[in-house]
Amino acid sequence: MTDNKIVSISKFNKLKKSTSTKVKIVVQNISVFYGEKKAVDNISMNINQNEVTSLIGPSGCGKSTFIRCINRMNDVIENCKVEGNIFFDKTNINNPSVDIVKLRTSIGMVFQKPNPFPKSIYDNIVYAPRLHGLVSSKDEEKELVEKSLIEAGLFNEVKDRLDDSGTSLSGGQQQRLCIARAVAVNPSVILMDEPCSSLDPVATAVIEELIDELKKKRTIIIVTHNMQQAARVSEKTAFFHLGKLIEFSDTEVIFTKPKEKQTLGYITGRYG
Amino acid sequence: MVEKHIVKGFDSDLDSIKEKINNISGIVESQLSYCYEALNKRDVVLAEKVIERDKQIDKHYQELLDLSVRLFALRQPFANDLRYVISSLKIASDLERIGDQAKNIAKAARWLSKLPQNQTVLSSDSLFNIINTNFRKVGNAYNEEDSVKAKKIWFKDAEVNKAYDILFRETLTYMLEDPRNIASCSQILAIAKNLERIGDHTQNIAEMVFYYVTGSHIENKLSSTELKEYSSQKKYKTNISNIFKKAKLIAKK
Repeated sequence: MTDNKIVSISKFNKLKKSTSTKVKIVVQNISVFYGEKKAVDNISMNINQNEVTSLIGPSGCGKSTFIRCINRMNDVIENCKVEGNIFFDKTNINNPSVDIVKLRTSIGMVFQKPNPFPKSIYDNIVYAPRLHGLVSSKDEEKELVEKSLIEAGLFNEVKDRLDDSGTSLSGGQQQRLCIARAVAVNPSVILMDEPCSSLDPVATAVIEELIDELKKKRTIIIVTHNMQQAARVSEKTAFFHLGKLIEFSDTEVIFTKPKEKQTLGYITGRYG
Repeated sequence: MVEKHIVKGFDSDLDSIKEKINNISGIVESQLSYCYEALNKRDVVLAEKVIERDKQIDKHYQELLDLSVRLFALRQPFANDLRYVISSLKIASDLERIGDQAKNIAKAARWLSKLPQNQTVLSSDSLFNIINTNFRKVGNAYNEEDSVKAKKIWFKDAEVNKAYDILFRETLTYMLEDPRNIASCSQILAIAKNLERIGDHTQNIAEMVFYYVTGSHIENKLSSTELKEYSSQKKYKTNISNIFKKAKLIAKK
């Protein structure tokens, strides 16, 4: 593009893509064992920065176990052993010297069921920043609460009742509060484990729109059972089956012309 | 699509689409046969029947459209299922157009049937035969989901063009030789043009079968030799200046 040549739109997009894509997370040969059972089998993949990567596959295929490896949530599960390396901005997060608490401020997580703390909306958001010493005054706190709620698309709905309990909100609002709570510590990656599975279609659409906004600043990895959702929100999709990564490609390829027969069977509903 | 869906209703919906395509295709095939017969036997009743039966094709086409919309709304197909429904819709559209061309041919046949029986009418048999064979074969390729067969039929369009070119030349010559032939020949030209268009629609159907089965566009999958050969065969060979020379000679006589 530097020589000011006129190029076709498709070529322009390719050039744009190739220059703007940067790898955020490198997964190398990750295996996870629950006791003797291998739940995730030798997964390697690159996660691009400022993109949404969807993980799809039937129940028990290892996608949730895998996503938990990325912020070392499996550490809290008894009998769970993780092998392999995950490089996050060039740091191997499986290195024992890595500060897990710090890691989880950089790699936030949103779960299947909204789980706000039994505290006010305000306190839900400032809880972690206070703990990590990211805010030092009331004004900073207020600013952060407003910024986080705006990013999570919830500010206008709750601005007049920040002292109300987080659990008093609707399901969709609670989930957005959890997203606001996650972004309050400014993570560069957000992991989402079926974030819309307990929400109605309208609340789901709001979250999906939010994901589209969030990826401008952050990298998102989402586990979903809803294939239409994966198709709608993500740039890349990975299909897991029996702990193995069967196919990982552009979402468009996975849902229109997958290379693997197992992927085709799964996405067309011929194989569970 | 040998493997079945977990939801059986999905398979039966896809089967309904296939059934509907075969219904339309069956009617269109018989329309073409009736056209051929109506032309050769100068049978006005049969020609009227073809014109009347076109409504059946339109009705089936509308039903297929409804089935497809229902399937999109209820099943949200992906990958080869999605290609199947989209391709079937496009195939149905081509079939519907072929139905219209058959109706046009029947109208010309009706006109020709009113000519005195002793007046010779130029035969379009050769073009008709190629069209009929290709049409039948493309239906088989669709049902058998056979991209190799589809590709072969796609190439056959060059033969259609060649046969059209010959008929076009013959018709012009006939008209030049004797102006009394002009009336019947103008109808033959219309028939030839409609048959040539049917050839194009058949080629489109072959393209869609190939796309559904492979996920690729046929023209992107041709080798440079194949493409070169096809392009050279597809070109019309009739030299208009030669025909004018002939016309001048006839005028002198």
